[in-house]
Amino acid sequence: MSTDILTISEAAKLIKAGKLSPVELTEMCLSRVAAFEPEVHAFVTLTEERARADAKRAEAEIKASGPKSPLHGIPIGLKDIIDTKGILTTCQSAHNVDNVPVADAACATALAAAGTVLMGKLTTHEFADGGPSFDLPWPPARNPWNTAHSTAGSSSGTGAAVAAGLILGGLGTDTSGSIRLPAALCGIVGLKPTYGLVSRAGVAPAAYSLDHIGPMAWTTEDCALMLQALAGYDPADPASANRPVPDYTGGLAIGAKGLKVGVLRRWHETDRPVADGVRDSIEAAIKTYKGLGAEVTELKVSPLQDYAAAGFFISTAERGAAYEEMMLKNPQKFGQHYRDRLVLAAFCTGMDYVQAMRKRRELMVEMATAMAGVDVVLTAGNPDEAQPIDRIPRWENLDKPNFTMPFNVTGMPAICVPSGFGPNGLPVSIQLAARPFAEATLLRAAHAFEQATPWRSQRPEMLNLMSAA
Amino acid sequence: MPPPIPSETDMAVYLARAGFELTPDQIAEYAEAYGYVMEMSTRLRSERSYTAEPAHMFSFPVDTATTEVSI
Repeated sequence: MSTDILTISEAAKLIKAGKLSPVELTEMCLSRVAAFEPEVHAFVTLTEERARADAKRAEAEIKASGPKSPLHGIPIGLKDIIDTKGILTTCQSAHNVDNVPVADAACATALAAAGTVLMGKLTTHEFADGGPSFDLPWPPARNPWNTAHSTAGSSSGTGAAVAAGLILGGLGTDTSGSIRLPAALCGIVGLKPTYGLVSRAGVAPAAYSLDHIGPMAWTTEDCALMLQALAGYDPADPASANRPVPDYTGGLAIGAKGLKVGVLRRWHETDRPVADGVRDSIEAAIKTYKGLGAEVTELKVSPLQDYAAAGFFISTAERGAAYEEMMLKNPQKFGQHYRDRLVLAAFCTGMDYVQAMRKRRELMVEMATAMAGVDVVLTAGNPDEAQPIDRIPRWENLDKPNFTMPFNVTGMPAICVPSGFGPNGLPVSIQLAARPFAEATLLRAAHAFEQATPWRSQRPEMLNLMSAA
Repeated sequence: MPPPIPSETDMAVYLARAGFELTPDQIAEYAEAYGYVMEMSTRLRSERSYTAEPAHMFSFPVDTATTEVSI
């Protein structure tokens, strides 16, 4: 059996042509799970039987009437805060060790309807925040590029599983960067769609007004294929946007010629200076876009710290409200990181929360105005390569702003795309963002960059070793 | 910029009001975090009219809500 790892798009073409069966593809993934899961800890629950049954069914359906979507027969995984009927959904917490939902989350239903094969539930930081933690019932995910290093989070298992080829795509959730940061550090693509584009019904909340669900995969095209299945109005989600869903893949090949790219240089040069490898990759990305015929300009908005402050108070207060009862009744059941986060909610007053929401409106208008003259903005993804997993400062998220929170605060779509490797040989990433509901443009810009750079051809060394064996 | 030195009294009041029962050692652990929180809270306050309303996340500002993507 070949151990070459396929993208969703490549696998879909082979399946459609009858050259690859979903059963064979699923067995490939399961063999990589057997080889690498003991090192990367990407799964909380591996649903091996379900995966084989899904694959068998998909194979029969495709034989009978062809694939119903490009995701038909594709092995995927779900972050373990996403409800799955009859399957343990832990939120990686001792509070939820016996939690078996009676219904699927809307996003799980959407992917199942597209014909995907469910490989299992993926590691997360507890209730999608904090971490990596070593005091939870399950270990934290580790970075397939170097398992001594962090994946970032909180969609840590999805990042690790895609990078290690255990699944072809997966779902993450993103409240301050939890899709994009693990994507950046694991060398894959992670898309946080516009707030309201993908239903959150059936997904454990982190912070209601900042929570997003989105795809993580090896390529931008794969994220587009997944988004196509996920996007759409759902009355079960009070924030769901009732608007038509466009074609997310049709415009990918248009390229970057004529695209207007705005660079938020101040953020990575002054507000949070990035490591040399990240800075070099941003400059290289600017050159790449210019070479592709894009027009690159510099944009100026408020300091990153303003976005971080608004985001911190909103997320901490909303999280505190959601988990107040659990915290008061049984605080010791939480791991230290999440308990820390809930204790911080005590320091946020009602006035702080409202001031944060007033600040948010100002920042949303400011960013919308800055974006009016461009198609996408370009920032750093993460300030550096992945850190050693056991050396992450306890209050890092308070001390230093990240580059992802601004687009949770504004609700705008944003994507992290690999942009090279740092001096330690670990992936670095750029982030692109666009106007609300402009995912098609965002994906087009990301795809053009990806096609013009060599970074999608390199997989973690552990996979090369398996291929050689 | 280093975070401001927190007042233990302030911290104790906030924690008690939230219903959290922490030991003095635990309270001391959160002093550093409290400083960062106070520092961030100053960024939220600026000159704005009392009529300035908070963001309503279920509708984007008008200038972006109508933006459609054309390829």
